[in-house]
Parts: sequence; structure tokens; C-alpha cells
Amino acid sequence: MNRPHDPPPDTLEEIEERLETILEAALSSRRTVTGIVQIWAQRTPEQRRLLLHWLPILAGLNPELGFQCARIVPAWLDGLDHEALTRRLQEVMDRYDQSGLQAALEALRGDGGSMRNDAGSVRLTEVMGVLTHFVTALGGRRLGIVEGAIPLTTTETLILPPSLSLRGDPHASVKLYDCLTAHLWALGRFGTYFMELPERLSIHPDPEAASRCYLTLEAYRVDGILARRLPGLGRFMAPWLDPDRFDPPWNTHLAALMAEEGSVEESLNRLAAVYGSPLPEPPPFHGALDFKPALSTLQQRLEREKRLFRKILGTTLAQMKPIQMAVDPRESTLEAATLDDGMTLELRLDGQPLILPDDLQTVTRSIIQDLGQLPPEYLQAAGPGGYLADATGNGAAEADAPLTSHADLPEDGFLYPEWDHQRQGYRRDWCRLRERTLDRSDDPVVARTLEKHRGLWQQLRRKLEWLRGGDRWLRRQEQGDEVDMDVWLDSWMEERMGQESDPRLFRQRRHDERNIATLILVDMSGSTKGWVNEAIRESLVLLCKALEVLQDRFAVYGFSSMTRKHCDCYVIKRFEQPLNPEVEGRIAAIAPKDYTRMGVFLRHATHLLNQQPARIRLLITISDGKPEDYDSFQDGYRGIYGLKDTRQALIEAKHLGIHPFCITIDREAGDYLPQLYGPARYVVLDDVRLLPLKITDIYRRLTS
Amino acid sequence: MPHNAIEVEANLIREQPYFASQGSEIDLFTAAFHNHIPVLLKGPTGCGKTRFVEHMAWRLQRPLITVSCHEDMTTSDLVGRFLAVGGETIWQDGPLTRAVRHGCICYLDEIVEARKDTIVVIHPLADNRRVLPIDKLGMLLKAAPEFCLVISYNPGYQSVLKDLKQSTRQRFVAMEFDYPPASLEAEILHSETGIDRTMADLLVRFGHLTRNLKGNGLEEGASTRLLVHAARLIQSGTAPALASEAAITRVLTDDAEMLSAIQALSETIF
Repeated sequence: MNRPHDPPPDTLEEIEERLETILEAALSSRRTVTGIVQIWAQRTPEQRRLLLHWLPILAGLNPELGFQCARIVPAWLDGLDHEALTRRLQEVMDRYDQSGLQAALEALRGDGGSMRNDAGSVRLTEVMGVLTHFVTALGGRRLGIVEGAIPLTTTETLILPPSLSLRGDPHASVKLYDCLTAHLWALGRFGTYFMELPERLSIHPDPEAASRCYLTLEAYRVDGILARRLPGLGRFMAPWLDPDRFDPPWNTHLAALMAEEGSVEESLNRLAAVYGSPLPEPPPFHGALDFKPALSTLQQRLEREKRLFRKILGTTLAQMKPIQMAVDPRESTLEAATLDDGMTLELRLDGQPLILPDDLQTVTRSIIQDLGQLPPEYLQAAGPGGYLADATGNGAAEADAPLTSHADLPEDGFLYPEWDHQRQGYRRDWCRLRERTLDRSDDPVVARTLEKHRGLWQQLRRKLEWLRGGDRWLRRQEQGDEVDMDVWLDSWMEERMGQESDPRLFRQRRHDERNIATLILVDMSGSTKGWVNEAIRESLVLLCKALEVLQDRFAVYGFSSMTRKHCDCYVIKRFEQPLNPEVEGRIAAIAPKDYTRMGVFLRHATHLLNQQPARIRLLITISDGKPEDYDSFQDGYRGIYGLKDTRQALIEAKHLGIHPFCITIDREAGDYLPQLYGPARYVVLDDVRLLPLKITDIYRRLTS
Repeated sequence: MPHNAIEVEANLIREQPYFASQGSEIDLFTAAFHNHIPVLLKGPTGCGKTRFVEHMAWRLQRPLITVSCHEDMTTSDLVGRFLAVGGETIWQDGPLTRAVRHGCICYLDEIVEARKDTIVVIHPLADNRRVLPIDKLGMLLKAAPEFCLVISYNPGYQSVLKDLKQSTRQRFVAMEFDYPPASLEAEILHSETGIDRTMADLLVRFGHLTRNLKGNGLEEGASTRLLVHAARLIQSGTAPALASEAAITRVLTDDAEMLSAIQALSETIF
């Protein structure tokens, strides 16, 4: 392993020795580092130092990736500075995390050409969050964004390239991403893709060529619409949309299409005139000339949404008219004012106006966006079973799937990123966390604890009741809700006797509301076995009872992990649940399980706390030592990696206005603690038996 | 009480406040006023609720007393309290009592911000009794015939703590307000600020883009009020991009990613 203070290797032997150590797992008797040593020898010591920083990280991910990087990356140093190299390598590692070795090697090999002018390039990962908001704001159907080599829209997902560069200017490159996103959005929004398209193109001798011409015409037509609606974007696109750029016959037709609010029909009409002429050079914000992905998505969506529409309509009607459901389709219409923002839908069934529930509005809008109108047969009941009959046929389960599945949580648990301190970046969607319920235990831990600590508890209880929120009167105020009669009388008497009177004659009612939400995260890793577990359970009992007295809202979750794919968060008490025997049974059931992957659980707790409408949000963790997990990747979630990720998760929580507080039971009270809890407040208990005695007092002082 | 009467007189609105009607709200309010039914206005922030009440007060020629509710507001703040002057205590009407006594329109803005025990004081005023109990004076004050109670709230608040109880809401006629349709909103910007129609249309378009983000990272999109602010800045010479950034983008959120997204949207327009 290379360390920052190691001198870069100078001689060929030194280089060879270092490379052999790092790449050992990828070498064999026939595959040696000899060739790589020659490449490295041509680099300056400073460049070799940089390469030696990254190589162990890459080889740690995968030995083969490390080997290939050792071979290929030195050549990149001709065109890239330090920062650009870091970004390139992060991209390669992202690809490895998401799509595996082959994709990472492709990213490694395929990027040679664009190396030189990398300075102004922007990566999709950097702008992904912003683009997601951007495309949502443009309106219409929710769209997902994924990374892919060739830009394209499926009308549900936009595929955007992993990086873009324009004029070596990062700002222009970001704008290019915005523009490409808006362009692909517009293709789906303004009707380019429709089911009869292949049929309409088949009248030409070469439908493939015709489709490329059609899609080119359409691309410029929607650019025209965008330029009119979004003039700022129009200015950005203008240099590429100048009709003088195009050869005849394209110039006249494209100019006409861009100038007017034409429809798809207009493009189809002009198709014959440009068919056969070479296509114009496309602007950088146009996508692939391929309609098949969009059409196959469209077909699936139309079927799915028709079933869904009829299902929701059927359910709505069934709730309105539980007995008869006969509906005369001749009397049923749906009127949509416009497709534009603020569209209002009015559905008339049997001549009766019907207020559309939100889910029906959403699906209806989506159907109208695809078909331009709601086909009359959607409103006709299918035989005696009514609307629900065909909705429950094949694929009903699919129809139940949310329309925007890509924008929602994955069905199975939550995905969270993890901080990799070596790359100084996140591994995206790295950990899968599932919420599990803990089966109750009959162990009477609550009764036992309260009995054991009876004296302590009574003392604490009194202290806590003082803290509880409520109304109280503040006396002797200069202004207030009402005259304080006692004070007023005293004052009146004093004045009578010629003394100076107190002008503070009022009393004021003050409402003290604690308004605190607390989430307690309990370590259930294997190391808490025995005494530690008992102490944790006892402490939890006392803390929960204290929180109940204080009337603070609180939740309790336990955690244990077994690799990043199995992070289990055990629900002991949710915020909305009362502290009842059920919850007490689950506290009793807290038992040691596997490992402590702290970061992901802190992120989940942050997510849960963030939804609580409280003035103060407190995240308390009770754990017994260093974060660590069982992992297959080199070094894994232990040592410095785990510490840094935990620290990062605590920083994230603080940024969101949450107050993290860590209680650690650690006999050695390691010197790693300040590094781990740097951003958070923490307390270390060297004797676990002290925990039940101290925890409630810690909380009291923390919140008073 | 002449002192109070003068003060009430000062609450009379003499110039017509600009209000662009979206439907039958003026007729509905007038009917409720004449039938002694209190009015509940619902709608997102900055969509024109307060302006509507001002307009109606002008139309009906009644003084308007507005109270912005907050969580520290007590019943005494509404009804009144004793003040000590020169060793004596004198009673001073609160804004609600003044409105009840002198037949004003009393507008309790953002009523859900007030505490529940404060809200109940309006209950006997808001049904057919039309009386205000003043405990400290030991009296029931009968409302003047022209007295009208108007409350407003924003149902967009998702918090369960900020909901209006059924026992309160079922005393009112409710009117729903929303941001006006695009063309009307542009007309409002034009009338309020004198901004030209093209720029008004662009501002409205920008507003609509931000409203699509409501519930997707933004609590609220840009209100008509914010668009008016931006239009005013533009009218007084600020560049449109800067005006929209200062008056809209930065007001809506502190989240860095969302700020960049709204900034990108603004750049597509201005």
C-alpha cells in the first residue's frame, strides 16, 4: 500500500517492486508488470506519485481494473491535469460500482479521444440532481434520468451522456445538459412519437431512411417551440438553428417548421420534400434518430394506463353509486380545456359532472399527452362487470405499479450512498437498507428495570416533570395579558403611603412548548453481546419512560448489517406509535446480531427525522465502538473507511438541522473518537453499568 | 367612544384596491356579508386573499381591521385588556371587539397560526348568536349588523398541527383561491406594475415552471405576489435575470441543488 510520505520509486527495480505488490492479485506467471514498468519509467516522479495514489484504490475495487489502469492511465497524464484525472478516475469507479468490471473497462478504454479538451467538461453525476428538478419543472409526466452513451428519450426516461463538454467552458457545458434535457423532454411532450408512426413511414421506399428524416424535422420543430416558450434557451440554441447553416432543400423546410406552431402532421407533410437528401449536421443537443425505444414504451404505457384509468374510474364510481353502475357512453364525455399548464379536466358520466380524484387526473393527463384526447371507449363499461372487469385481467398487478416507479423508492428497501474517503466522493446507491419489525419478547425487562432503578427513577421523574411544556404565568410584567391583582393592590397601597410603586402590574401567560422530536438508534451488532446488551435495554427503558414523561415525540430503531446489501433497520417504535406493551416487548427483544455499518443507518435516521415537524430534531445513537462491517472489497467497511463514512453521515445530518448526539460504551475510549464524532457531540462511558444511571440525565441536560 | 370611532374611521379604504376577479367570488362574498355568514378563504400564500378582502371592504364601504395571527397571540390580544393609567385601570378594546362594536370587517389572516384556545373565542361570533363574550368585563357584546368575520388559511401546510378544527370550519362559507390562469396573471402583473405584456408573460411562465416543482423539493412555487415583486424590480430598471433571482429564486429555497435548478430554469427564460 502506498502512503503519502513514501518517496516515489526512482529505479526500474523500485517501480517493479511497488507495482508487483499492488497488482499481485492480477498477475500470473505469464502476466507480469514488465511492460507497465516501461510505461511508468517515462513519467516524472511527481506523475508517478499521483499514479501510486490512485492505483491501490482501483486495484482494491478490482485487481483487473487496477492492472488495466496501470497500463492505460499513464498516457492520460499528457492531456489531463491533476483535477481532471481525478474526475476521470471517479467516473471509472462510478461505472464499476453501477455496472461492473466490463463497463468500467469500457469507460477506461473509450475515453482516450476526449482526453485533450477535458478542461471544461461536466459529468452527468455532477448535474443529475439539478437536471431532475429541471425536467420536473418543465411539467408533464415525471421523467427519470439515466446515464447512457447516446442521448435518447423513451418518453419515460431520458438517457443522457456521462459527460459533456462545450467550448472548454464548464458553464456552457452545464447549459448544454439543460438544453439537451429540454430538447428530449419536448420530443415526448409535443407528440413526435405516436403509435401509427411506422405505418406512416412505410409509404417510403426505405422506411429507415424516412424515419431519420422525420426525426430530424421533428427535432427542429420542437426546438422552434422551445425557443418561443423559453427565450433564454432559444438564445443558446440560436447559432445551431440558423437556416443558413442548412443546405437546400432542408433550409426552407426547417425554417418553416421552426417558425410556426406546426404539428406532427406538418413534419410528415414536409418529409417527402427532404427525403433522400443528406441529413444536416445535428446540433450537440439533439439525440439519436431512433423512435423504437419511445414507441415500445408508449405501447406499454397506453395498455397499462388504459387498465389503470378504468380501474380507478370503476372504483370511483363504485364508491359513488354502490348499487347500479350502468353508464350510457353516449352521455359520457371528458373535456380537457387545454393540454397546457393549468389544464382542467371535466368528466361527465351519464350527463353528470364527476370530480376526478387526483390519481385519475394524473393518469388522464398522461393519456391525453400521448393520444391528444381520451378515446371514447375508455369510458365505456365492459359488460356486466363494469369498468373493473377488464382492469382485473392480465397485468392488473402491473397496473397497480406506480406510474413513476423510477422516481419512487425501489420496491425492496431504501438505497443510500456511502462516502469513500479515498476517492473523496460518494458511492451512489451503495447500501440497501430494509426496515424490519422485531418480534416481541416476553422477557419482562421493563418491569425489572423500573424495579431495579426505582429510587433513581423517582428522582429523575420529578426533575423531568419540571421540564415538561405547558402554560405558566410570568408575574410582574410591564405589559401582559391581564392585571396582576395582588401586585396591583400592593402597588396601590404603596402609592397611598407615599412610597414609590412598582410599575410592573401585569402578568403574562407564556406557553412553553418543547416541540422536540428524538430518534434513538441502537447498536444491535454482535459485539453488544452479554452485559452491554442488558445495559442498552435497561437504558432504553429508562430513556423511553423519560421521553414519555416529557411528552417529547420519539422513535426507536435498532440496527445491524451484514455487507452493504443487507443493512437491517429494526423498527422498535415509530414516531406515531405510543409507548405500549407492544413496544416494550420489542425493546425486550433487542439482541446482538451482526455488524455495525453506521453511515447508512445514520442516513436513514436523518431521512426519518427530517420528516418530523419539530423545532428541535435530535438523533441519539447508542453504540459500543468502531463502525465495521463484513465486506468482500479490499479493506471494506472497517478502519478509516468506516470512520470517515460515519463522520460524513453525521455532517450530512447537521447540515439538515438535526442535532446528532452519540453515546459510546467503550472501555478503551480509543483516540479515534474525536475523529469519528468530530462534527457531533458525544459522551464516552467506560463502564457499561453506568449507562442506565446516566442516560436519562444526559438527555435531560441535552434538551433543557 | 369617540376615540375608538376615529380609529375605526381610519380603517376605511377610500381608493379602490386592484383586484382581478376569477369567478363569482365578489357576488358570493357580498351575499355572505348581507346574510351575516362569516367567510373562510383558502389558498396558497400570495395568491390574492388579502387583496380580495381589501377590495370587498372598499366595495361594501366597511372599515377593515386585519389581524395577522401567530402562535403567541392570546385571547386578550383579540378581545382587549385593562391598562393602568395614573393608578386607575381603563379598558381598551382589542381589534376584534372594535370590529364587533363598530360593524367593521375583521380579517384574521392565517388563522391556523393562532393557538386553539385563542381560536375558540370567535365561535359565538361565527354562528347565529353573533356575540362576543368579554369575560373581563363580564358582558356579552352583540355584533353590529355590518360586522363581518373573515378568516384565511393555507391548506398547503401538510403539518397536522396546523389544521382547522371541524367545529371552527363548519361555521363559515368557504371560498377557494388559487393562482390565476396564465393570461389573467400576466394581466395582473401588467396592471399592478405597468410592466409590458411580453415580460409579464415570461415572468408568468417562469412562475409556472417553479409551481411544477411543488411537492418535488419545493414547498410552494412562486406566488403571484413574488411575480409582482420581480415585475416591480424590472420596471425600476433591474435586469430581468437579476430581478427574478432576487425576488423569486432565492426567496423560494435555500437548498443548493434546487437553487441551481431554478436558476437554470430562469436562464432558459430570461
